[in-house]
Amino acid sequence: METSVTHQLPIDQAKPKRPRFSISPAHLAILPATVLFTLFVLIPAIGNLFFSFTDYLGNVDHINWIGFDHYVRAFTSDWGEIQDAIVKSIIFAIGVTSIQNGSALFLAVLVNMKIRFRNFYRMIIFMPTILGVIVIGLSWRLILNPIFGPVNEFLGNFDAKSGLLGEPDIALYLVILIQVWASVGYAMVIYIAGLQSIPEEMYEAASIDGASPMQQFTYITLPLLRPAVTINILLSLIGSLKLFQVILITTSGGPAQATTTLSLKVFQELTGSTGGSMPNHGYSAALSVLHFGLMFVVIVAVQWYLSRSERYLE
Amino acid sequence: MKNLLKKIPFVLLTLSLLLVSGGTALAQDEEQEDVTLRIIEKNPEWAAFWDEVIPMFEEEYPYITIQHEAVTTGNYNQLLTARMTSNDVDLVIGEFKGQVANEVQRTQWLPLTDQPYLDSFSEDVLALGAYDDAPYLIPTGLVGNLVFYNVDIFEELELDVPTTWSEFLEVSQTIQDAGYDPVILGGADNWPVNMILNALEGPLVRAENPNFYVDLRAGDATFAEGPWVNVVERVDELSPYFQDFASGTPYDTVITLFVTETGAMMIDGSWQAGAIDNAEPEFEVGVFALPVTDDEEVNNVLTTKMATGWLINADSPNIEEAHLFLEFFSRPDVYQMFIDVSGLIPAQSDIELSGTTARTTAEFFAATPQIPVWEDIRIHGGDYSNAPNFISMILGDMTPQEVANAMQDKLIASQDNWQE
Repeated sequence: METSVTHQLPIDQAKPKRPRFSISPAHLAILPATVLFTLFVLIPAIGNLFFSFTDYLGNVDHINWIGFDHYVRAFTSDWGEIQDAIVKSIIFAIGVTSIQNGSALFLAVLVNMKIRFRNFYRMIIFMPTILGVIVIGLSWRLILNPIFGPVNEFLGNFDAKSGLLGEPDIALYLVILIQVWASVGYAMVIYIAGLQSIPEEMYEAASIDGASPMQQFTYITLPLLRPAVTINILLSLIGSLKLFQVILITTSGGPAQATTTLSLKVFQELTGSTGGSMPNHGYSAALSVLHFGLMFVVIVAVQWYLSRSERYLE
Repeated sequence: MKNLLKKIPFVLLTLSLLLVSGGTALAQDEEQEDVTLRIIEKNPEWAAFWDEVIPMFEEEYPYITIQHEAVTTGNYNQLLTARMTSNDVDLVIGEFKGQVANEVQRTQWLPLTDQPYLDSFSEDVLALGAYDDAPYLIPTGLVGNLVFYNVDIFEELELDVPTTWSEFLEVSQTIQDAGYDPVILGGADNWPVNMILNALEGPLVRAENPNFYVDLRAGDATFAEGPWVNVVERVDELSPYFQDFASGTPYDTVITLFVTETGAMMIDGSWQAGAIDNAEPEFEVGVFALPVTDDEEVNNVLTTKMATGWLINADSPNIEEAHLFLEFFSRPDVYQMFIDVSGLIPAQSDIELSGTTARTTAEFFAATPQIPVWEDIRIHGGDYSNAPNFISMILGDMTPQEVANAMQDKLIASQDNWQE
């Protein structure tokens, strides 16, 4: 009599059978966001990529596949302008990110101290964040008007009148300051949240050990604020690389092209707002793909560096 | 493959628009007898006209409801593209160079041939909005590029209106020596420099070579040599006479500088006549054509175009109602209301202008020979976004020859987009 031997795993070692498809609550929870993301971000993004290979000028009855022509144009005949716009974008992003984060951290530390009216100060600093971009742009355009603006009136007292937003050498830096003014409150709030998560006991212990306030800031506050710094830097970089509205309203990219960033260039090509060319949707789409590429490279590099720094500190 | 290519963007755009609008288009009852006439335009400042006219029109045609939307110029092209792609508009504002001259855009619009309301406008005016003798645009008004000047300052300095370029420079120098800004430029917005180019180009370029743009297309002429270099050099010669910080002066500040008697002259569009009247200057305002050459005969010409015009969407389901509105708009009493609000130079005769400067400007239009502005006759589809380079030249960062070379380079780079 033959005995059949079956090799069975012990019950506790058997792999549980997973149903081929199941919908968990987690799937249901992310479904609305996924659907919305697909409809309003993914499909338009794919559509944009498609348009970048066509000569689409706004009339769907006249559309032809032209391959990489727009990209070739961007990297050949228009490369001077595109390169200039990329440099302006990077200067703008670095300027906004560094000044905004430096001042936001400084302000956060100040308004986190136990001082009178600190909620009032927080509100005042945060207020520009809730203003619309049109209001911000037009207000600063008036303030910096070289003919009637109060800034030039003040500078006139020192014989130092300037074209301000009309001076190619300083216009970009003034727009950077406007953007910092508009968004520093948002970064400050994130830093305040980070500061308030640091246990008070650490400062007390450091104080007992004789650490000065500066040493406490350097060796306790800054390291423990790393997550807030990372998120703020990334948000500032992403925001400033894609931002064009404030520039459009304050300088229209001028004087000449002194404040024309790549994101503004994309908008100008889309709307024909340079004043001498028709809207070119296909070319604008191609430039926006390049713009995405620039943002992707910068953000990934910065995120990699910041994550590595955080791990190192841990 | 070509059909597929055509359908993909249409489906993508339509899907997006339907989603954004909550599918309202699908919900429309096709059996509905009442008609909604959808109108978009880019002049929010005409609101007073619409407030009066919409009730009048709807009273005369009770089954038609007007759905009117006005956005700013900067947002208009996007709105126009979106609405045309989804066929969600019947009547729009457009321009000859943007919507009619360009072959790609033109096929979207209905030719208005033989419509009786065309008789309200002269053939010359309608020709400014026609292609191959087919009128597409019903004009809102006319615009031209000219010089507004402060008559009181001219009298104070005992100056005559200049009739040659040399005289114009001498007059500018005298004004500057007296402490006024001779010419005001809103350089912060870049595009105002185009108005100077428009005024300079006709007498300098087409007077020398009437076929310049035909030759340009054929490669027998270039921006980088010949008469267009003269145009660029003229702008450079004007540079010392612009006000301080001209490159940072917003266009909306220009009118203030003029009416506060800081500046003596504005090389501008005729549409500023209404704005000057609204500002109620305490001096007399005169107008003259920019004397571009040293030949008085050649200089006596205005470069003009149709300001904007109404276009009917060729695929509109409400074409009949759109015609009814254009007929209504073309009636002298309604058009008079429109001119009163818009301040444009009227495209119909027997229209009265309420403002002094507007009247002076209209009379000057009537008395001066006109030629189409070069924007309407150049190679359509080409890239002429040269204003930033002109501002660079005014700032001293580029030479006239470099600007002219850059113009030619941009035009050639956009050759794939040139239209017939």
